Amino acid sequence: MEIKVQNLVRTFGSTRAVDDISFEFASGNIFGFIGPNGAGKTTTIKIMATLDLPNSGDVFYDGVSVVDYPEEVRRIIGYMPDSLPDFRDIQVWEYLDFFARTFGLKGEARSRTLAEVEEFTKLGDIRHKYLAGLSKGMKQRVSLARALVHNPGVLILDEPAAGLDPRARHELRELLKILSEQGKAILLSSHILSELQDICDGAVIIEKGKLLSAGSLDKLCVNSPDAKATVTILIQCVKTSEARLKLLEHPAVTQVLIPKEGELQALISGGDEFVPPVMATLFAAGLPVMGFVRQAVGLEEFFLRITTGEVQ
Amino acid sequence: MASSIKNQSNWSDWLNPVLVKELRQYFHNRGILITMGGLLIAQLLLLIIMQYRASENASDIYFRNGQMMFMFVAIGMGLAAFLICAVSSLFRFTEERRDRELDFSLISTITPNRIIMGKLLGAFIMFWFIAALTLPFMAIAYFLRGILVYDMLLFVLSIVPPIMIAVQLGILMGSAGKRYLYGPYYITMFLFGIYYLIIIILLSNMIFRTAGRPLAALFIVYTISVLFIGLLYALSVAAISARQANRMRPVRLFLLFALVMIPLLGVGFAWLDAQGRLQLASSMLFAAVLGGGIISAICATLAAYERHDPGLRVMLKCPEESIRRAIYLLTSSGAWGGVALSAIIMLLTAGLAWLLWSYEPTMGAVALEWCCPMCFFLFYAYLAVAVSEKQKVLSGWLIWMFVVIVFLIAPLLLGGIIAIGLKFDSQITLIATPFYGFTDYRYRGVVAYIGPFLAVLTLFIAVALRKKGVKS
Repeated sequence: MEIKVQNLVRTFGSTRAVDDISFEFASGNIFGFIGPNGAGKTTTIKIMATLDLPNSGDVFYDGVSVVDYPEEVRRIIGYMPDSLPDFRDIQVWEYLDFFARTFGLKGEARSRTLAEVEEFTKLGDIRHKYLAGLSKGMKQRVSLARALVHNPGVLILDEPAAGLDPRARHELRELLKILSEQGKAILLSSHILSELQDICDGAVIIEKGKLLSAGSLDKLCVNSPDAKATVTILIQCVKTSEARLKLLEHPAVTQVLIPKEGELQALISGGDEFVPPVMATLFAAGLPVMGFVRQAVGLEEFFLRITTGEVQ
Repeated sequence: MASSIKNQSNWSDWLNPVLVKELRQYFHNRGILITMGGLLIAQLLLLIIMQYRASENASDIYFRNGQMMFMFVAIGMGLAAFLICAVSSLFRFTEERRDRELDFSLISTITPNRIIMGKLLGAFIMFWFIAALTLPFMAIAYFLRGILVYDMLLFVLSIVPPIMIAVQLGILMGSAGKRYLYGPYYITMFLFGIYYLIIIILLSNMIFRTAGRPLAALFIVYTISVLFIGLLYALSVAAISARQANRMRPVRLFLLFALVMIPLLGVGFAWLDAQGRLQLASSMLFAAVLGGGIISAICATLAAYERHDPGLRVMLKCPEESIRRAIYLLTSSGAWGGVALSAIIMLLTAGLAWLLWSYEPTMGAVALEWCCPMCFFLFYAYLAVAVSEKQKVLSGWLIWMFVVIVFLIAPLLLGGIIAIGLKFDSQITLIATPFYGFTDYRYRGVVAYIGPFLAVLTLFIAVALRKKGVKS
């Protein structure tokens, strides 16, 4: 399945919450949707989940438009919001049963589907518990089960890991990997960028309603002009203090860190072509360089490089 | 996961999913179970009191205790039903809206209409469940004598409409998802309760003293209640529909349906008239004029709260053919369509009033005079929509409130202050308000022309503006 977000615009009065955003991703991919608070992530996600309509532009799921055919789109998407189910008077199985019914699942088929979803999300042991009495991690699993109950081809997850402890985050990550392997297209927004880096194939970065960058992680963190603008080199050298001083003498080197004894991390502005002359200064000074490697830019670092942190 | 499994249905699959969920929630809710327990305990205490009364005064046991016990049981049932069905509907829906749980229902294949219907039906079934809890005590009341089963049934039936109105109002206010609406809901229910108490007293007088025709009175109460619940229902569906969808269409269609059904009130009034002085046709026409005026006023007032244009999504589905296009626009979202529809209804109502006046002058004159004050609401709405379209700062509803204050409430207050404070004849201040009927009779004839004139004028301007808007 192919998901295309095309020139999406959503305004609230004079504020352009979403300003001409376009990106695409496909089945089997996990895409991170990143942006500072107030960037327009939730508005975009709401439009993608048919909960809101754009002023212009559209979202297509295998060519099916959210604007023209929201009913058809609802059958193929699963949406997990940042809020969690909190009913005092509904048990886990009743909650999932309700959503299975709303998607038209009947009789034996509904029972079997619920059993499968409960098994996948490990909710079997707590199926008779009331929602309000569950931990945050449990509620998150219920929320995921709800989004999966009609076996959607696309999953849209808004801040799924927010407030979860490390174990629950790990479990969620594993579940998402399995779902991706099953061929589902997953879009997830999150603030925990280091986690996104581990599971995402690509990312979409927005700020102030505008698209800053979109594509595979390789494209963003290695090949994009922003990633290339500053290069990080990890150098192994015994005389770290002398090497640091020598490196800082070069005008292209903006910062040198010593993560541990015998290792230096140098930030070189201007791109790859400045790496050989920088390294040449070390060799010329006769410093014993044991090895060096060009480090890829992390998603978090890339995000910080291209965003300003301003909100509308 | 689901698609590979063969479907086998069972009986509950045919039920509305929201109804199934609501019933499960009712029986899991601790507060509701406590209220039910309280109702049972109160009835048991009542039984003990009745037993004590009977043992104290054996001669009084017949003809009084039965009716008294039934009344207490029925009042307890009404209160419990209000708390369990109505108040819990308000709480639950408010929380669902606040926690965005409703959003998940809306992104399934279930429609807003089925969501509201499921909630209403759930409350209706709970009402009869609560009634069933009181059945043994009603049976005891019957055996204490002084009351017939038929009378009991009629009385219980008279409790259903206010409870269902309270439920539907709770659902409508809950659809806003604001907890601060709990207070206004209680106040509204208190005022409505006082008003309905008078109806209950009148009805019980008819039922228990066999005076008049209680079934006719119940028919009138049910007709009004069903139409009112229908309006609240349509508004609730509109409230939870997508912002840019054709959300006012169910409301407009319901108002047209109500316009067709309102003559049933006339049937009720003719039935209630034991002397047979009221002719069925005149009564139906009179009811149509009364209802038509109110429906026109409601349609216009709601238009002031709407967006000006139907919106892109609505216009995409607009038919090409001119008559179908006009009907579609009149019954779709968009303030000008609402104003135009209101004016058409008002003109139709004025025509019916004139028809009634031609062969029943006394009733016809009252009907004609009724049209004018209703026209003022059309004028207020028109003014609000026109002004709000010219500027983008204030919304239509805010301007509507301002218009109502300037043209209705301020003259009324001014008149009151002048009359009471300065002891001076202030009737003239009411002349441009719907209360012009209270002014000097010499002006009333002149003012009566203002209403239909405003309706015609509003219609022409609304249609012209709508046409311009559609073209653009």
